Amino acid sequence: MEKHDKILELKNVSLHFGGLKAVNDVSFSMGANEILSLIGPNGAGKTSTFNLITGVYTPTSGDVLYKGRRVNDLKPYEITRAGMARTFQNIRLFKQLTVEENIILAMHNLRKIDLVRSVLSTPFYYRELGGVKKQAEIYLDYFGLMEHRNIRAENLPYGKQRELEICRALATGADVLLLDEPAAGMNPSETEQLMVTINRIRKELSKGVFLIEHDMKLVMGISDRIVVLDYGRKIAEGSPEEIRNDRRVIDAYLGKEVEENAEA
Amino acid sequence: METIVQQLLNGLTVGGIYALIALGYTMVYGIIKLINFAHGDIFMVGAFVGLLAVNLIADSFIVAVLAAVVFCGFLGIFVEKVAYRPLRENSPKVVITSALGLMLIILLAVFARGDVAGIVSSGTFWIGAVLILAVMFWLIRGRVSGRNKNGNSRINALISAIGMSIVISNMVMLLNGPQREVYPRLLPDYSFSAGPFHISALQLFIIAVSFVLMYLLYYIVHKTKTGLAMRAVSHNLNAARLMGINPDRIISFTFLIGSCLAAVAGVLVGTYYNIADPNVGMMYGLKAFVAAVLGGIGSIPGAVVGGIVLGVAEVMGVAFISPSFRDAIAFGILIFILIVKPTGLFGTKMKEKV
Amino acid sequence: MDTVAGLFLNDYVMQIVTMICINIIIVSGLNLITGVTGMLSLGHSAFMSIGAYASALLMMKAGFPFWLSIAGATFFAGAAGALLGLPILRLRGDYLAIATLGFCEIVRVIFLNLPAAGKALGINSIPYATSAPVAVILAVLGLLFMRNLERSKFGLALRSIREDEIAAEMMGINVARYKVLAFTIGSAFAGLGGALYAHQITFISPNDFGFMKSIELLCMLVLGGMGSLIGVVAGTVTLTAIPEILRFASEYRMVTYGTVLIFMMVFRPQGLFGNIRVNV
Repeated sequence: MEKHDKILELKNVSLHFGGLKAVNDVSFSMGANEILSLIGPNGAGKTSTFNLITGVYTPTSGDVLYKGRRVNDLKPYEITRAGMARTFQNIRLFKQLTVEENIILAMHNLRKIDLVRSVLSTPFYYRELGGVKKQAEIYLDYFGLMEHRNIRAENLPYGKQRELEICRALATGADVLLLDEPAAGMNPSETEQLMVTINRIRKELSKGVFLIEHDMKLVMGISDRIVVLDYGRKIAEGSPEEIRNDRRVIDAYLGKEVEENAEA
Repeated sequence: METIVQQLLNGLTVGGIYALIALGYTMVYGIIKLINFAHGDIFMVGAFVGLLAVNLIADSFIVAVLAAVVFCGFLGIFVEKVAYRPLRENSPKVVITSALGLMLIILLAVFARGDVAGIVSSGTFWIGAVLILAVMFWLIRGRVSGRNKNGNSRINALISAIGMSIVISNMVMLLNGPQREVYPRLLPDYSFSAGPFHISALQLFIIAVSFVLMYLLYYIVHKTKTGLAMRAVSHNLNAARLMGINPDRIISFTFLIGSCLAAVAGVLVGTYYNIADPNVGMMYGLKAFVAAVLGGIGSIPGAVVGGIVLGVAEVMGVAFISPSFRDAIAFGILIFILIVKPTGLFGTKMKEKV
Repeated sequence: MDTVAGLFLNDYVMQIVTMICINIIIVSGLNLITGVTGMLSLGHSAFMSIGAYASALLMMKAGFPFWLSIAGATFFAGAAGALLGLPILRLRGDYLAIATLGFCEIVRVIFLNLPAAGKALGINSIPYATSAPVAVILAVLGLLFMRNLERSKFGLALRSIREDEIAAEMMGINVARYKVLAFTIGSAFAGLGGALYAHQITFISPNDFGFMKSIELLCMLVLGGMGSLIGVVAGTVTLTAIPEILRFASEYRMVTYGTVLIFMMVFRPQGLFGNIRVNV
């Protein structure tokens, strides 16, 4: 079962843009039910790493393995079908679709209705749609978004938009969620709420969560393990405690923030 | 071999004209990301204003060019204020300016054909005027109060531009009639022989004028303070505003310059082919636009190279393949370049960040 | 009662009604491409011309019956849409618009030079077959098809592509495939409309389907309000009827038309019935 524990694995992955090494020989792995954080200074290659995993970029060298299968060359939508879904640094909801439609869209590949029966609106079409709506309700309820389900996503308050994005990623049926700076722009109480949500997703739904985050309180508070990047290289990996005390990490960038945390 | 060189010269001439028009497209696109479909019609108006000046004032190339440049410069600014600015900005002043401009167009159209006194004394005219004013008032209120939200920014601007193009070309047809006009030979045309080639002085003149104007434009954009402001606005309109640049003035200036170049091109084409045709605006505009895309839209050297490549390809295609496929050649090149290198020969790559 | 019926059912009115229905079919196809999926097309009339020529030739040269001819025309236009879509749909926004514009002109020039299509003269005396009831029935069926498609999971996928292509891809949507699907169906609708047009007007020539025709179709869509089928109907009725109403002032017709377009864009940019933005 050792193999199944590593749901996602990066083996010596590099990504070069011309002479620039955005990601340089990075290896790490993630457990199936783990909260793993990726941190590092701006421009360290965090989002590039996400883009490599989700198929936006193809690695220049090295392998990305998902459930033991090489997924280097899969297109983004194939990655999502395989079971990894993501959110974005700057929220990318379908703004003019309703909250519910955002969720139903994410369930696209799980739905079993063909074009002909859709266009003819057969009884099966309505039955299938009913089932999908019920499923969407469960997701929305889980995030406390039920009361907003019929408004356009662009009209949600900012914090709710972030949650809807996570909810949408979850609705794809993914086993691993990749969250790109989920707490960006949130106030402390919203961040608090977010931590609770992420923990619930891991515990109650037994998903793996892989996140990029700058908010050290959140990272240190919920991560099982942390991977640190600097200039495209992995400079450390370990538990929050280990990272907090890692010399290289402190040198690279964490130093000040750790001290601040210690004072607080 | 001789025909090839001969055709090359013809191609360069046509290409120089395409390039002059393409510059206007490329500048406007570079600055507000709008395909100014009315640009081809401004070029056509340039030819007619030149003709009018020659008939009214003097039989001189300089007079024709000056008149065309002045008129088209104003026309370019007018077009921007009436059809494009209100789509970017919502202030009452801008919206009302646009409304007044549109009313001016309607009045001009009504009075274009003769009997002004008869029209003004008719009841229909006043009923129509009151109706139009009422609808305008109602819509302006909706617009200014924000009830009519900004719609599909790019597509709206595109359609507004097309509306302008239709208005301008049909206004010329109202005023002049739909027929072509004979253009006077404003420049003496010597041709001399160099070895086996016949070289026309007029062709050389057109090529030279095109290049001089292009250099002038390049100088303005890259060496002057206004040019720097133009590039800043093109890069980021709001940031430029924060740096104390008035983007509206810069945009007006861009339309002014582009329209002036188109006016010169108009007079040159009239002189070269001895014809002014109210129907050619759209096709010349499209071709010049293809040239701009070919070179990389937004790039000044790109527009020049694109225009020349297109001109030469077209003339060669007509000479060696078939004249009836003339228009298909330009658009075939267009699709090919878009598929192979969508940003054109000199365009910079813009990829959306994830 | 007789006079009322006479007023509404005379030939001239029937002809306009038929024209409106044909345009509704064509514009609802454009709505799928531009209003629903967010791909700006300036070449919709090219598919209309493919449909018109295909149907005329199938009926006159191959002896197909009317229904089979228009079905064939729909198929040909759809196939042409798919073939064009495969290479060019990775272009976005303005670039896609320009490429479709180029395609439109190329198709026109090809028909201008095609001996079988009568070159510049076009095709005359095409059998008349598009009666008003036929057009009305097909327009209603077309609108129903579009409504059902838009609310289905496929329509939702297309709308999500309009909203954010990258996010749609990341939610598991095969964006490239769906774009081609939308373009194919939209083109097929244009082809059907073009075929009906050919059998109503009974003569067609390449210059009926130039770039300006595409623009006219786009104007109908934007005027009514993109992404809204009610808008499609409203915009089509308005812009098909206005030129007819203005026929007495034929000299001012085009200037008025242009002014109305600018007017609408400045003062009611979302169109008569639109409530979405399409940012290409």
